[in-house]
Amino acid sequence: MISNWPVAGIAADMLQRTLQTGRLAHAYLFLGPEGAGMLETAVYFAKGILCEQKEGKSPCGECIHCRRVDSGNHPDLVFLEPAGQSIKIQQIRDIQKSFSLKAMESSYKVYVLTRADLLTPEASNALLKFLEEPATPVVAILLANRKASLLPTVISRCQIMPFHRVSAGSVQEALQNEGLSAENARLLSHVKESIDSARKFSEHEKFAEILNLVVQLSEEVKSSRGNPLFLIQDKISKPGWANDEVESFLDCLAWWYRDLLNMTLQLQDRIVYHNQISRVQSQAASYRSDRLVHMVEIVLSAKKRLQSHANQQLVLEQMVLQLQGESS
Amino acid sequence: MSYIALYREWRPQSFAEMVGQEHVTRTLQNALRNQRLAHAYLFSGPRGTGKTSAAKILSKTINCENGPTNEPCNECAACRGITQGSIMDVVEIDAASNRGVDEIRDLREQVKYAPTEVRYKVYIVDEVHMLTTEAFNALLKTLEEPPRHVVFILATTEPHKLPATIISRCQRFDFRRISGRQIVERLQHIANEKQIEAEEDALWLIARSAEGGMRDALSIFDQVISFGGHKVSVDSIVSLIGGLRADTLASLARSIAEHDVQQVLHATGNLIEDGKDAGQILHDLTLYFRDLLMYKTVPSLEEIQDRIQYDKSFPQVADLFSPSQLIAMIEQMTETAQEMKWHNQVRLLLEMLLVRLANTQAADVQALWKRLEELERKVETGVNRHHRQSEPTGVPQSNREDAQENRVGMKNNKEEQPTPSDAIPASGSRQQEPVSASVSASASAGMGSETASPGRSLGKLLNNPNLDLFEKITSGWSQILDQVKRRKITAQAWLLDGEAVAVDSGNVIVAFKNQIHRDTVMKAIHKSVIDEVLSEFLEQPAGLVAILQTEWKQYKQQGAAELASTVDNDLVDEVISIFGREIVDIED
Repeated sequence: MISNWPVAGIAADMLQRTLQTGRLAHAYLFLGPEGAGMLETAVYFAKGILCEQKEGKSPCGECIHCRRVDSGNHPDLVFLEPAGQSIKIQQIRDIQKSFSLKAMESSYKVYVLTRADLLTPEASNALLKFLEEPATPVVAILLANRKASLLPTVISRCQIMPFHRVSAGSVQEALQNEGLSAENARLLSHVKESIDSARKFSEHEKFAEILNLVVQLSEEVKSSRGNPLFLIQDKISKPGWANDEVESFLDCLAWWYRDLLNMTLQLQDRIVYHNQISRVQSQAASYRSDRLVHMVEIVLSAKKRLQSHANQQLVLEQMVLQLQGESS
Repeated sequence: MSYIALYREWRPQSFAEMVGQEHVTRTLQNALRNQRLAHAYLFSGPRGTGKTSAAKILSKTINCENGPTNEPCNECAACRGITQGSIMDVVEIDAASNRGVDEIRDLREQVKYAPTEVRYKVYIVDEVHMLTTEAFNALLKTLEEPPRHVVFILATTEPHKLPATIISRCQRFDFRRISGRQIVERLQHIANEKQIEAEEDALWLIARSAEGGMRDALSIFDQVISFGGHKVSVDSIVSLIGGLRADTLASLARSIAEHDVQQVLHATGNLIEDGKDAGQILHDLTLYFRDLLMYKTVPSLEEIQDRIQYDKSFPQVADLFSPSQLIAMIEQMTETAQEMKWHNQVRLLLEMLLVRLANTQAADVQALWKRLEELERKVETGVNRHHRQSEPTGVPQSNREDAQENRVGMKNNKEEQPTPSDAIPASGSRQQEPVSASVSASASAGMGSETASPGRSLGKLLNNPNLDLFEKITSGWSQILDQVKRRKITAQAWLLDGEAVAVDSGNVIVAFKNQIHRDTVMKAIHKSVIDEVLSEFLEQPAGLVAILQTEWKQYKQQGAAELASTVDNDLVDEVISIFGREIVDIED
């Protein structure tokens, strides 16, 4: 019955039931991480509201309304995108004005705020009254990543639909179906947030190199004889890696130390570097668990500094020195 | 449309229906009864506490055809018209959309005209904090002295954004957050009316996540009804809010208290695999620990009592922690929550935090406290002892007996250590161990050994004081300090407090005021540096011997005072012989 929804889950269940019972609220807030299929669900839900065929309860996909939604030119479905950096008060005023008129073709009008977290404070406040008591039958769908970026007064006027990150297990499965090895798929599904970014990373030319470098660097850091600074210089600074490549590298490195931690705590089933399990085991033997916690945090803070445009080489070198300090 | 949201359907229509704002409704009703209607009101308070509802009820009450009254009848044409929004004289203005000075000028134009259908013209200005500065100022005169037939009601969630000149012209009413109990009662009432089966625990959960907003609570309630039909259960709410169950939180807190890192990581891993958001887990956990802290410090708090209502294991979990632990943990949690805003590796951050929480706690704070107290006590008694040593004359009888005992102890010591020169060997880094051993021995043993050892060892050391070297040292002391500073700045810092008092065959004796200074310079890391510098300076092997100034004074009183005034070597020899005799005298 609900198989047609873009993403199955509690939100799809609830929206389906809403369509069936006709208990349509006037404002919905879709909350969830990127890549959880919120926009697709919003479009499908809008289709369900606008669809002519009221008996089937879910969009038929054949009537004129459904087809026009699909082709993106239904007059009663409006997408409000940020104009530049944010959604501005004028956009809200415009939509209030156009929505004060009756729907053209169907009984409802639907508007979708694709990035509700980008509303300016003025725009959110201007939205409040309209959100709570619209003059005409209107359904608002707001999409946002997290609650904190919205006004509490906005949130309290909406029904919240939680969207969940696609679980690591199913991402792994999907990647495996695309021909990746089980080990790599497992690693990618954990290190990257969504299936899209995982896929992109797996196709990246430096993917294999990054994984090798993680192992190499951690070995050098552990055995105090090698020179990890030289490795960084040789493999990253000289070829001139882009910042996002270095960030991916740091992500992988952080997960590597997390694996070591899980190994010291005998949580083997949580380890993501499956193909390196013997290395993980031998490295884990030389660290205490609180050290490893600190090392993960060192790597993460290096990534944070990198994101705030610190000098790449300095950040990496400082990180390596700190890691070595932890391991001695 | 046939269906409207619960919170609009159940918007209170009379003062009696308003929940949790008795202090507002009673004042307003009394004012109405006494015909003391103000011309401007300011309603402020958090979202969903009834500001707009109260404004509408007030405008109905003063315009009700069955009035003047203190409760609207909701039956006459005026009341019904206002509820439907069809009476032109009651204007609800969205100040957030109409925030400019032009809109306010329009409003001023219209204020002049008398009402057409009802007794009063009422302007409800909602979200008034969004007006621009110019608009506020344009409103001032009208707000202060409006025509007799006009009432302004301003409503806002952020009263601090209003200019003081606006606030001072209004009667201000602060709406409170609605307590959990009141929300639950209201929800129960609605559930009964709508014939919906609702578990009480589930309603508490709703009230909790609504955080004092009735509209939030009704939104969630509405959603649960449309999802779960005519049954409201804990599980359906948990899956809806995406939060954690109270028992999950309790078991997580237990694992942390038991330092069971494995279990903590295992449990969080499972939660995340189930699709819970790491940020949400942290948020719930922080709130839970905050409640634990509240329970420990102010157990009589109403909301804490409410929590115990639906979370029976709560007090047991609270017993596992101390308030100081909880504060430290909550601080770490909020720090991580802050970090999460900048990172996309939220899962890693959460896991690391939890490992740290379970680990740091392993160093039990209580045990640390105990050790600290013990140390303090030791330090205190140690200090007392020194005081006593520095005033050997004129002491009470009991102390003199102590001194007597000292001598006995000294004798014993001498018998135990037949070669006293071992206590402070001439030089070299090996010297550290025996000294520290004697220090610890003196700290733990009774009164005896402490006074005995310096006298004895000093006597042994100062067999042959070298005045030339001593003068060289005192005159070049600042150079020595400089040299030490260049090699190891901490060593210099510790040495700074000392004063060279004597030199004897490679032993440079330095007196310190504080025990801690004396002990620290004698540590191998500092001493090796200082010894090196001294050796270079004196151009012969030399070693540092640190003593306390009190020890030095005592030693001088024992007959070595002449040492300082000695001018030539013959005299020194004489003094040494005297000094040696003295020692023999004491021992006998």
